Amino acid sequence: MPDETLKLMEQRIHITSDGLKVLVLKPAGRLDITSAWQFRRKLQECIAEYRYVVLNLAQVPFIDSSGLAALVAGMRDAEKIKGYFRISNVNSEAYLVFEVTMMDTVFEIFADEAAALESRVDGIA
Amino acid sequence: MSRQNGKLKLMVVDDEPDNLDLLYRTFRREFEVLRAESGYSALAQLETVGEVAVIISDQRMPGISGIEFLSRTVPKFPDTIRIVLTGYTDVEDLVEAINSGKVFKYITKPWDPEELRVVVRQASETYRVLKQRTEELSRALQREYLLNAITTAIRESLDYTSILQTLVNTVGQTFAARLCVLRPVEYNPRTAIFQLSPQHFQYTPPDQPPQTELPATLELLEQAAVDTLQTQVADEVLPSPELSCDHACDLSVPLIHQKQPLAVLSIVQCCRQRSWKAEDLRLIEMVAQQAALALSQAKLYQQTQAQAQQLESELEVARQIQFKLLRQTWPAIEGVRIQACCHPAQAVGGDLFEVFVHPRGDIWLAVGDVAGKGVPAALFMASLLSVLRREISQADAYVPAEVIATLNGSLAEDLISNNRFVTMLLARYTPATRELTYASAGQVYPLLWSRQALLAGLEIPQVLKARGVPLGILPVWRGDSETLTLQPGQTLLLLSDGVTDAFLNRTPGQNGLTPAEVASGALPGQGGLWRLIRSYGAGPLDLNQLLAHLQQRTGRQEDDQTLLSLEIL
Repeated sequence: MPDETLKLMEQRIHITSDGLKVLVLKPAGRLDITSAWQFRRKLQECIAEYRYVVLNLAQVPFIDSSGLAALVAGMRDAEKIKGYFRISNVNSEAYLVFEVTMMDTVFEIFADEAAALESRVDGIA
Repeated sequence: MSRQNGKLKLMVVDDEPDNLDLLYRTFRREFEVLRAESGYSALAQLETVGEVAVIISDQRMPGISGIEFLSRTVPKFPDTIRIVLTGYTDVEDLVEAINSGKVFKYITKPWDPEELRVVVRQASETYRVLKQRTEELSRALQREYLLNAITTAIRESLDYTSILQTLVNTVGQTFAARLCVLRPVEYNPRTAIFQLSPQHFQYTPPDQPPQTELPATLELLEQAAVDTLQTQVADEVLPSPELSCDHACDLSVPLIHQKQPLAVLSIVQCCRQRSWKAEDLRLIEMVAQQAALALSQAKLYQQTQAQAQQLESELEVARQIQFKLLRQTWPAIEGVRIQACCHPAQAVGGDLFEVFVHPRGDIWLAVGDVAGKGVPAALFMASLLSVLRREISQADAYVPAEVIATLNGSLAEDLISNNRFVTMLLARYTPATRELTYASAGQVYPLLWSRQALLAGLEIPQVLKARGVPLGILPVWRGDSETLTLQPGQTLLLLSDGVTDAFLNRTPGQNGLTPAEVASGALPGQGGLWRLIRSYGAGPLDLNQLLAHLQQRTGRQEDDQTLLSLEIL
């Protein structure tokens, strides 16, 4: 497997001003057909454990349709347990995947981590 | 061993008949006494009777001396205890014989019968201990050998049948069996009982033919072993006409794994009066345990193999179904040229395309991609295609966006619950007006170019950017639709993301779009695709050739790749 595939995620806990405990995930590498399944599992665990997850995609240069499927699954997991799954820092090339599929209107996507964390829970991006 | 009816064998050798008689009478109650009048006749007797526990020999005899005779018995019967009867004059020879370990004790003549008795008792006790130790050692060795042989059988072969045969051979040889039978046990779900398989594996000694008819009593014993999950030893030693053996000792031991019988191992010995010893039983049971483990592994492997094979053939069926679904023919249509091709990454893939010419004259074109690969993706693809075909063959005034909304309506629930989605581009071209209407559910943007611009070195073709969410994301589909009029000489190319992704450099930051590509709204990879198309120059567009070149330059194919082109002539 080439080394540019998704690296183990950097993660931290952030407590928002209204006391919400949010997990911030920051993967690095391509989110594609070779890494999507593993990523999906990781995301599933994180959402089940923390309910509120922000995914910082600053270090993800590329997302393919399998990667997108993993993100959709994350969104559904969060909806099921009334948490949230927010995306931030999408770089321009990766953003095209959201644009083509119009998923930029379906996901909660924010410019940066701070915006994602500060947005109210009932607020829709 | 030199034991029969519990009495040890004692040999007395003396050329004087009186002495011989005295010795015989002294020991006959405690031992089975053999008499010989000379060293030579004693050696001849030993040839036929085999090992004895103790030999008492006079030293001075005609022919060979006592010490010489005793020395000659050492190589063949090292465990026998040797005692010499001698006068004081033979001390020198005697010392040497004792020191070299050939003689255990000496008794001076004339002897005191009580003293001799004590010495012989001591000697026989020594013999007994020695024998016991030797037997223990050889049993330990035998056990070691047997377990080793069975582990080797496990390692060397994962083939169920050959493991069974190896097991039965190894056990049969080790226990010097007249017959050894290993019979698999099958669970009958209908009757909920474990029953003996009609087939069995057997061992017979090399000098015996394979046994076509098994002893009648064996099956009962086997069944009892399976029913009780306990070792079964036949109560009686009976003659077995099948084995031409007067005293057959039968034994059946079940091979148990996770409290269920896998097979039953039976050993038959032609044993005269000997029956199964407790140590033998322990060893056989230990072997049965190991064998059960080996067997369960082999069985598991066999099942996995069978499942893999079944999966493989199911995959082949799926592949054929998919192939038939995608193998479409369409009539030659005046004024247009249509090509389509799809290269799945696996035996079955999630990409699809459709070309349908409506009786009214409209041409429907579709390219789609079910996220994920393999059989589940192919199944979704199949149901999507059938709904799509039903829809586009129906109404007249249907537009692509409506069809996509209908598809989403009928498939969304299944897709959402299975965590899948489908991207698709659907276009309707009306030859009479050259009007093209399309809607996209998250599919990669199609490209449109004219032949003149291509030949003039156009940097990037027109990118058709009407967009919509994929099917299976929202309960009610949301997306745009666009209508444009195509010109003669123009080519429309629909594609799946497997094509564009294949052009991407896997090094981060290396896929920056050129300013022209950014301006056109092209996706990463579309620039590379366009450069490849442009390299064909004035030659006709050939999608199969295009995909073949694509694979050459990108190596391993990770996703399905689909292309569909519409050329306006």
